[in-house]
Amino acid sequence: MTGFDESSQRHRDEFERFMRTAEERLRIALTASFGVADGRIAAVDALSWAWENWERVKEMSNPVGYLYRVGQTSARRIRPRPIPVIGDGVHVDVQRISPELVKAISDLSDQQRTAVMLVHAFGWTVRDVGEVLDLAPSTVQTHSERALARLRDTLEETHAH
Amino acid sequence: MPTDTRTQLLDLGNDLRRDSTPITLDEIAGAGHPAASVNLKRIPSSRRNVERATFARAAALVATAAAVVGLVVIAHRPDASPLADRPNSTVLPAPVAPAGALVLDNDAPGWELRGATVDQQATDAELFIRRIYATDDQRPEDGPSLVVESFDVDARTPELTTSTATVSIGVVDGFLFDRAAGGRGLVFETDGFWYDLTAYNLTDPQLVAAGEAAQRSDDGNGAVVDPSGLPDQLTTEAVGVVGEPWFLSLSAIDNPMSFVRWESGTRSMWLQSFEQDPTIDRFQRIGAATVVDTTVNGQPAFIRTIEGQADFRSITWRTNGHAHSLGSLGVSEQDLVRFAETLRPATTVEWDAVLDAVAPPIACLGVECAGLPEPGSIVPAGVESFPTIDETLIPDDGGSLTYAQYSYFGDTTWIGVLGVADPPILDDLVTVMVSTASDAEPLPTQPGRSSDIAEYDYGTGIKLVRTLPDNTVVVVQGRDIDQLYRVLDNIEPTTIDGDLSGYELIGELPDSLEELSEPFRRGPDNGSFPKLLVHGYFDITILPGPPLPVVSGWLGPVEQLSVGGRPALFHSEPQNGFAFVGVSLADGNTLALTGGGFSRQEMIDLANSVEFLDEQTWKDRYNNPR
Repeated sequence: MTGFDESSQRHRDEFERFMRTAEERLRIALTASFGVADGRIAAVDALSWAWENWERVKEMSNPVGYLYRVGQTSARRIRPRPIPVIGDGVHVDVQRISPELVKAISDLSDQQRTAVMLVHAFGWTVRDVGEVLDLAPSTVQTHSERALARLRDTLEETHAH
Repeated sequence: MPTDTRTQLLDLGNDLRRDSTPITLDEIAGAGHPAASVNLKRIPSSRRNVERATFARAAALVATAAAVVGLVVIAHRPDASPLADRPNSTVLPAPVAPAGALVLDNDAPGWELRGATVDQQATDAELFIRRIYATDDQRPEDGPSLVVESFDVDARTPELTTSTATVSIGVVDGFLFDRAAGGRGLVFETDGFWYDLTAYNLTDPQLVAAGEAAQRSDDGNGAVVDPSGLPDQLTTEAVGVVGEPWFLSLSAIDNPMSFVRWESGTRSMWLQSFEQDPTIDRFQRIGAATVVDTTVNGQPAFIRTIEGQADFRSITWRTNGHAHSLGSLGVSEQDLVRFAETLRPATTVEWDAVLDAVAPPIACLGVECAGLPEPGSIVPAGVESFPTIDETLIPDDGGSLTYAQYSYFGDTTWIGVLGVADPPILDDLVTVMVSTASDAEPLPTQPGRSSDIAEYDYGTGIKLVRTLPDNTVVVVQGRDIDQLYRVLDNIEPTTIDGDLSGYELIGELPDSLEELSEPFRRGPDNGSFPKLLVHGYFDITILPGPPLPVVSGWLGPVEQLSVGGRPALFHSEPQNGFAFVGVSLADGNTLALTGGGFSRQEMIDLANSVEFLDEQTWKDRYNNPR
């Protein structure tokens, strides 16, 4: 083992600890934005970037927030257009979840979709969401409420027809 | 019947969470994954950073793409073949696979497909921007050329050798030297950025003039050289990054690329297909040790080798509007051309089949997923080796499920711990590690210190690394640098029949230090160890050897405990929520619990809740498709 390898081992140990606290938050946040498939790819890309730039990342005050943006860039490069949350083979039980809701979520703006999914689907607090998205909690609250209202309106309209 | 919107959203969140599999460190670091098994140490050192980044990412993306494909298969690909659904009355050309992907037209005997993905270049590409100035000749390697890179001083370190000449670049010193991979290097630092220039067939004064005219590019893409500093012959320019390991233009990395990898024993080949201006392909030739023109199915092609990398050979050609570069390790020129000629554009069906073929089982239980050694060669197959815990004790606030895997150790190292025993002071330990490195390199000399020792100061601790002439590496880690130097002088590696067998303490240790943990061997031949991950932020595993060397390396406060009547250690890092309990097992190994956000008492309670299963019961319990 060379000095380089020793340093690499320490790098690996530190990063493994970081992964314990950051991986799931990052993956779920990107899943909320881009769906299970592309969200996971984006999270892998962001974490790979963090692995290669660990000395930089470990000094950051909000590494998950930064990596969310790295993942966001990656996902948009993969598909430079709005990405539905559902699709890519995810099973949705139509007995419990209306297909109209799924489509309505996909039609939301990126920020509204991410906020409403994290707050109402994944049960995050607006503060936690704000930290990852680099938004004030009040802004997250606004996005989330407006998105929820839009979803309700869409579903009511659908059922009215 | 669906319920109200919020309840449906919660159900949807649960479904998404269920289908989102946790990302493992091996996906990120590339360790142990077949797609990442290219020996990067064979690549010239000046290129390692780039290749390491690229291959780690490729491996991670292969794994991710594979997992995703697995989900798609479940949902959208029933048993019926897509070909069987084709209408009889209409014959349409088969859709072409994305990103110019190629597949083998016939089987290549002995070669196994090991990875495939469609990807774009990394988000950190800006760190590896390379600008090349050359003549407009189709064989630019025959004439003068200049390669310029520039990057933040904190981002990475440029290649430098000890045999340099110092020149003035404006008001700063620049270092001129012959690069190991060929070319004349000029490196200097100014305004927080490294400038790293390589000249081919240019004089030193021409290189220095180019360095003086170099400045950061306005668009953030590395550096540019003002025309006033360039020789007149350098009339063309390309900007891009170094891929694996060849030059890719920025336009290429802005488009999807396909990546396929094959292995045959110790030999490997990897194919990258990409879109770029055809006039840029020739820039790959610059900096190569040799370039040979040839053809692939009648199309112009060229084969490159790299200085100091005898096993590496690549071939580049074009089909269907895409460029293709096929890299190889241990493959002859003739075989490389023959292999390239058997590749043809893939249809979407064929490409999907390739992706399916490389898809690992999702959350598979270890050995068959990653080609790891069979478990249990050191860990006795007794009931204590396979830990489990009541998952409901771990709050599920993020969503991922429990899954199990095996972990293993990549390097063989003898590890021991020194400290003050009476009274025990566990906050100030010295860890000793001795290993053999086949590629050990001389280390930089520290002022006033021995020439074969390197110092690493991590803020929380110091590590000294001594490389001996026989490539044995001795590492001591602790807090007091003078004490570490004195310890290092008393460590002597031992061998049996030429193989490293541990180390001896050959003199009196300083500061009342004693051997608290005798050297034990940790390495890939230990076998692999069961690991259970719960909700993404808590895991239980078995580590070889006693707990003390595990915590001593972290250089933090350590508390002695008793868990279930067994000696145990607790360590935490409040700044990041990390907590660890290591319990000493009867077989000499450690039951290790690590978690994020748990208190000391919670970790102890969890440790007391661990139960042990026999291996088959453990496998049966966790080897589910998720």
